[in-house]
Amino acid sequence: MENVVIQPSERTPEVNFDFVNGRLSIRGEAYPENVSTFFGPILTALQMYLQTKPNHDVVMDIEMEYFNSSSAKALMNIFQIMDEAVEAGIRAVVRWHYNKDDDIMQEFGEDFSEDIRSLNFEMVETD
Amino acid sequence: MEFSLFDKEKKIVEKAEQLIAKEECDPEEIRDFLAVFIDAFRRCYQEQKCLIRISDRLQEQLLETKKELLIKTDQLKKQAADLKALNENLALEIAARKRIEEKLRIMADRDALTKVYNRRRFLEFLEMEVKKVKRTGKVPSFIMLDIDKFKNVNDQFGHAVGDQVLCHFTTVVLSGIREIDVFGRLGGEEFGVILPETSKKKAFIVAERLRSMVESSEIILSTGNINITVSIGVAELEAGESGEQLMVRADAAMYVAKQNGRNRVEIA
Repeated sequence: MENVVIQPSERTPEVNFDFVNGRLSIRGEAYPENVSTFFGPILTALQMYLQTKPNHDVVMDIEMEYFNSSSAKALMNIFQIMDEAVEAGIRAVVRWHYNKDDDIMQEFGEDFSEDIRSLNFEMVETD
Repeated sequence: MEFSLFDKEKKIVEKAEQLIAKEECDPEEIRDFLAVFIDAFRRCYQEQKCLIRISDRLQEQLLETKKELLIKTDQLKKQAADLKALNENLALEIAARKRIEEKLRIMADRDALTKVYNRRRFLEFLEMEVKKVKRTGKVPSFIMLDIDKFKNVNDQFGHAVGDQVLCHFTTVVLSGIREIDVFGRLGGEEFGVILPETSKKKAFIVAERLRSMVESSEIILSTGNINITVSIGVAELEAGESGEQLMVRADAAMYVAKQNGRNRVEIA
């Protein structure tokens, strides 16, 4: 399975999906002009990867500075895919990173975690 | 196929539509689908709740930013107004300074009492006029004027009257010369007029007119009116001559006028 590596741009985050080691990350700002064009391939790759039933731990680090509403929906789709994978027996965790001064990003993480049934959703405070 | 963020939701709606379209429905199938539907619906409104919260927070942030911006804008407006006022004050100050500088310049160039050009400035004009001849080829003339028996005026009536006489004299002379002519006080009761591009013949006519004007004008004093006269020497610039030399010749002519009985014009 080919890794997904996308360099950050002004409106899109850095994406690094290392499928071999099960380390996935999304970092930066997300308000793409076309949310489907940007997140579509990412969601498809993630789904295909999880369908291979990886037997190692899957760790996803999310560290957002800003995202718009459509990107929030895309993130929820990602979490749902991960959630379903966990229900199908895969070991996975999402780590939500937020700056200790950024109350809003912390609350967003808490909101997302409420939406999840089986996936382990960790809050990680950073300086 | 075009990817959509709502693929899952769409698929469930399609499934529901297919079930409804069926003529005969298996209750078991409906029950199973309803379980899936409820699950999806629950997820849907959870997502909606989440999105609404996110949206509300972003709107709040926006509102806060907007308020901050309004405050900042007000501050900037105030600063701009302050700056404008400062600028206006500065402009006024600059204008005042310019007026002072102009006054200083006049003071530096003019005789304090009579306000005609002082000796220094007058000699500068004379040198300029001499230099100009090289370009135009037209020579100037010089008129040297000395008020007759001015010492007697001072002795008899005092220095205040002497000053008054000097001012009266300059007013009379100024009214008798052209605008291009340069009038200056060389010291005491001695004055000079530079007449650009003027022959000594014409200068003599001017000098004679000045002499006559001075003689016929009365100086009105509270103690009684007095009259004065002036002795005048006229000289025209000669080839290779300096302003200084021209002035010396006019001065010498003026002395001849004094010797010949005063209240006269003599040509060098």
